[in-house]
This record gives sequence, C-alpha cells and structure tokens, in this order.
Amino acid sequence: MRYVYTDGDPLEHPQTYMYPPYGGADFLAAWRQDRLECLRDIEPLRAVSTDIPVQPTFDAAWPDTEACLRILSATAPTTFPERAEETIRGLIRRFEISKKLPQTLVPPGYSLNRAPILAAAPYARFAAILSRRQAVRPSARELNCLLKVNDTVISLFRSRRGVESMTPEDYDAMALGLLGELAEVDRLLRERPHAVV
Amino acid sequence: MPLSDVMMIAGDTSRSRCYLQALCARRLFPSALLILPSRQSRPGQIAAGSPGTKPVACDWGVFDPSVSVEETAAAQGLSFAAAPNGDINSPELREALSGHAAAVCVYSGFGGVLLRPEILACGKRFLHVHGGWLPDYKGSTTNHFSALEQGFCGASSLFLTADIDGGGILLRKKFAVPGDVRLLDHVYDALFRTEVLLDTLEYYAREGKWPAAGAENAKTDHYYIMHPVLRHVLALRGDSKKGDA
Repeated sequence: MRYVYTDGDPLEHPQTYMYPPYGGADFLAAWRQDRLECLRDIEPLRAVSTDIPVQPTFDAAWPDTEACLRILSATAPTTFPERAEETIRGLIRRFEISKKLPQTLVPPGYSLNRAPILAAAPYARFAAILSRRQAVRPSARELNCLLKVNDTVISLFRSRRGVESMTPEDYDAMALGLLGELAEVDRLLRERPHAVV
Repeated sequence: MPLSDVMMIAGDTSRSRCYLQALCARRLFPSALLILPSRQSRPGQIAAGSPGTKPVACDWGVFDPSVSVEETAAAQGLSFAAAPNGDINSPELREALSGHAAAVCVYSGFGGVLLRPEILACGKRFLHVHGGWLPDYKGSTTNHFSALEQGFCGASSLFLTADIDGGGILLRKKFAVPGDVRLLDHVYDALFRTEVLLDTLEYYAREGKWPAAGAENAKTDHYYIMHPVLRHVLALRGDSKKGDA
C-alpha cells in the first residue's frame, strides 16, 4: 500500500481528506514509511552548524509571514508573545481551510488575499512550530494541522516545487516537523483507548 | 403526527436516509420534503455495497442505509419533490422554499456545504443537528475528535446562523464511542444525530415550543476534517495489529 497524500501539487490541487478509505495497519505502515523515507532524503541537506543566528524579534518581522515563521520556529513555544500565539492559531485556521498560507499576516482571518505562499520553506517552518507546540502541549487539533502541513512540505520537496530557496536550516525545520509528528502519533497509538460499547 | 410547520430539505445521504426513516418510524411526518438532486456522488453519500450499508437495529426501529430518501418517502406515502438543483445556496432553491408555508426546515444537505447569508435570510429557520457535543466540539468530524480526545461522541440540535455551529443549542446528548469507529461516518454519526433530531421534534410536538439546552454556545476553536492518519489511530489504538514500527 502506498501513502498517497504526498502525491501531486498540493498548492494547485489541495487534498480534501474527505471520507478516506480505510486501510488498516497497512495504511499507518505506509504513512510511516513515507515520513522515514523523506527524513532519509533530507538528511544530507540539513544544517551542520550549531551557531545560533541572531534574529530580529517577532514584532519587528511583522507582518511578513515567512519572516515571522522563521523566528517562531526557533523560539520556545512557552515564550511566544500573545500576538504570536494568536497568529499561530489564525494560521492554523487559514491553512486548514485553504491548505495554503498568506504572504502577509492580516488578522483576524489571515486571508490569502490572492497571494498565497508558494515556496516550501515557510511551510517547513510552520510544521516545526506545530511540532514544538505538540511536545509542550499535545493537541489533536494542532496535530491534525501538522499532518496536513507535512503532506504539503513533502509533496513540494518530492516534486521539486518551491524548494529553490530552502536553506539547511529550513531542512532542519522540515525534519523537526516530521519527527514531532511521528512521535506524537506513536504516543497516541500507545494510549489506552477509552471504553467502547 | 404531521408536523404542519416543519418541512425537510435533504440530499440523499446516509444521514438524510436515517433522519427520514426515523421520523417515519416515530410518525413525525414533515409537511413537505424537497430532495436535493445529485447526478454524481456527493460527500456524505455512501457507495452501494460498501461497509456500513447493512441494516442496524436501534431504539426507533431499523436503520437501513441502503434505502434512499425517495424510496422511504414513497413507501410512506409522503409527498415529495425534487429541488430545482442540488445547490442549497442557489436563487432557484430560495424560490422553491418560498412556496412552502412551513416556518421551519429540517436541513440535511451534502457534506462540506455551508448555508450562505442569502438562504439563511429567506424567512425560514433551518433546523440542523450538528454531529458533535457543542460548544466544545465545533466544525468537522467532531465526533472523531471527541472520541479520540475524550472517549465520547455527541450530537447537538440548533437553528443555523451565519456563525458556523454558532446558533443557540436546543438539545444535546453524549453517546459512547461505537466499537467499530470505521462506521462513524455513515452509520453511527447519523444515528446519534437522528436521536437528537427525534428528541428535539418530539419536544416541539409535545410542548409547542423548541427546547433549550441551557448551555451557552460559547466561541471555541473549530476542528477541521480529520486527517486519515488520525482516523486510523482512532480505529487501531489498542489493537495488537496497530501500525507501529
């Protein structure tokens, strides 16, 4: 069985995820294989430097979405300023509805304004942010978004769309997004199910 | 008992089939029935022969997902008509609805379609049963999320407003998670919603007014359509054949 949700152009033809067929344990194995293969493929592209670059503050980067995501992906979620927390929640709503992110942050709807981000790097940074948030405060709603963002990032990577400007740090973020997703899904699988009828 | 001021508009989905079979079983007949046509498969419609098309016994009788809305209506002698098209938001449909005297319309459309302000302002109130426990679980596939997070399912009745899942809560109930969650979409979600619809309409028929759950429908973050990986986690969690490495 193949994991099909990383096929195609996710920005031109987004997945709807509606009424998916049931594939049993084989489906989860296919998903896991998809993620592990991607991690293997991006390993040589990741950053090797341990230097922490000096970054401008979130407020200074506002309202450039890409710049804000770059900063937040390197920031501990517990130290997010309130504005950043609201921004991430708004981008989760926007991505879930449109399967794209806007180039410019315009609350409260964070509308695409016909200018969605087409480069892969911001989506990788967004995935890293969601992954770090899962580690601090697991949330099925945000994990749901992370799964879809990772589908998008992997689709872009495999089709070589929007990856021209990806840096080693962006690939690091991509890896973080995937590793966090794998860890959280595994944790949920190990949880005892609630009582059923 | 005919509900003289309650009509129904429905696409031929699993949920609509359940609604109408239950309403007829409890003899709560809508004053009119408009069926939204669909030439091709629409979200919420189950393919013939797929899992979840077998009859299921329930409190009000037997839900047979394979029997269409039209077949049920015909068998019960209900008058029904095809809506001019399958788009609840079209001017033609607003026109068709204006020809019916009923003040309330039980709405059970195709998945993923939201009612726009124009139809919401047409003069009728649209009675909807959300498949989830409000206000905590708003949005899409909410029973899947509440099953995953808290081990229960729910359904809540309300009149539709422009605010998604935001109308005042009329009546709500919690349900245990079914043993086979793969049947949530087309069977159990429909059964949960139907039970709440029956309770809501029976209250109205008995009391002459709509129920009020007494719970504020507070603003909460919405859930969005559940990713297939999480659906499989829900189905396989605790199963020795789960898909871990």
